[in-house]
Amino acid sequence: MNQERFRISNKQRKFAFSLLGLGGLAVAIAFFLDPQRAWANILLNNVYFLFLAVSGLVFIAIHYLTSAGWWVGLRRIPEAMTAFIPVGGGLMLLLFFGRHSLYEWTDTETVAHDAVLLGKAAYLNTPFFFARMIGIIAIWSLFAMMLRKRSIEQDRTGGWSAHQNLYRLSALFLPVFAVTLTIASVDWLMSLEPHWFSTIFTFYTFSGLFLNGITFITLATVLLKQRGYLQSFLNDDHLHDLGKLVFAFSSFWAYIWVCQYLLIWYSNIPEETVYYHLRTDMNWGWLFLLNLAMNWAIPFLVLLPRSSKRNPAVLQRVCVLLLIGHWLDLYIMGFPRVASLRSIGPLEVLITMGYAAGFFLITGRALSQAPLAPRNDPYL
Amino acid sequence: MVKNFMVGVFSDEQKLLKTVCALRGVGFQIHDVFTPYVVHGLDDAMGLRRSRLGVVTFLAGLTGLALAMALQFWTAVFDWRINVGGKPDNSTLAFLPVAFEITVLIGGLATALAFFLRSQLFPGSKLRIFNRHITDHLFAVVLEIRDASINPDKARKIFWDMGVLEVREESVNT
Repeated sequence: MNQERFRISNKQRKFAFSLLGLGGLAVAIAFFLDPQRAWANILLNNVYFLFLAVSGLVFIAIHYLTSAGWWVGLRRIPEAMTAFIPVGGGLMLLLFFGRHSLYEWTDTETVAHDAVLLGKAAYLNTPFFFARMIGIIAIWSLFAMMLRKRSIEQDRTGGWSAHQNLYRLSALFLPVFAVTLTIASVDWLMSLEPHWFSTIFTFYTFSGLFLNGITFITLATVLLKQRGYLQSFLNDDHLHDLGKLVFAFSSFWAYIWVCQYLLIWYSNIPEETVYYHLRTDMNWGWLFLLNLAMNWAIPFLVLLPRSSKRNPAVLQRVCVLLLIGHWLDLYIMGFPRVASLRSIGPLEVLITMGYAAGFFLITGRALSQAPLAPRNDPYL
Repeated sequence: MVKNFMVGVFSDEQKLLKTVCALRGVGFQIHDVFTPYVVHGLDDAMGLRRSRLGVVTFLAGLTGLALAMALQFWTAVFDWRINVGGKPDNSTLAFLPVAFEITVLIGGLATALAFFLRSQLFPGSKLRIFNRHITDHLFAVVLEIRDASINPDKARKIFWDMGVLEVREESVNT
């Protein structure tokens, strides 16, 4: 029986903890210099890593529902990602203390003098906002816990009934996820600009979220394989499949990007175009184009030939590019309204590295707690 | 012209794979293998090179993209200018959906067409059915006996050693 386990080496752990410390220090400095910028950073990274964790859940659910067999060997990776959900959720709740720096609708004085915000006040008000947030995080954490528990049980018991159980949980999760992600993206990101709205916004968020999840899983697979894990479970064909998914969902993201941009550009209504007006001006314009290049144009061209989808070194580089690209995407979605000036500096980098280190420690721990490859799966 | 074939029929995909490897191992050229479903590893065993269908798709897609952009640009900027909501005549962004659809359409159609032509699946093409059961439960390996240098007895021996159900020689007028 294969009982191979993942181990975080002491060197990696020390490195991750020092990054975590540096990140914490950077947050403190940011609060000292400019609290609004600090809160914007916390929101951005909370959303990035919480969504990344949830994307693992979506990946699992979709593969169960489609009765896929190819992915079983790498199932523990998305499972480990979901271990971050409760932590990311807890960090999300911290936003309560920074709500006035981020969301202008939390200020009752402003709302009282603003007809549009007054009309939305029944939905956009502080108690209801955080009640929704707690509900969403609780639901996601619950599903993550149940799926993980059943999956590890299956290692021991095996058989078809455990699989059926996971299948049913997945079927339940996806519609619940559709509703909760709609609320989450509208609340946490779109309401940063409470006068503006886009009906495709949730879908845009989802396309980025799912692309990022697949990218992370691909990168994790490549890195694990490089270090000699999972050799008997994953071959070049698995890499090829993951590469195809990254390629396809990068294009899917670009498709949804165009859908949102094109329609707003076409109809040319001021309360909608204001969003892009802000993002294509002198300060932000080049980041706006860089976003398209990093998330679609470069990955598309690089991953087009078959050979590059089967080449771990190429996949690894494209994945790193896409992971940074998605951060930039969220930055452009969230920052321009909150921080009036473009500000990607050492503080942003350090805070993000701190979050990444935390994510690595938690997912790595979850990964090391169970055998790296599932056993007794009917599809194995 | 008359072509001579030798057909070996199997009921088991593992035996089929071993036979294909053995035949190629002693230098026989496999004409084709017929299976009722996809057999994993068969492409490698037969030594098929990678399909070039992707090249057709890529080139046809590029053609479609160029055609669609050219048509829209020419009609909107030169031939019949219409003011749409005050947008500039050359609104490339608005051309994207049409260009995308035409790219996919031409790419897809050309791929299907190239596939049918290359595998000789078109009205009037000559059917060569080596065994009636290759679409339900049997597998067939077909060798072409091109000239005297190929020894049919040797091939027959390999077939029988591998547990073939039936070996038959067949001449086809082409």
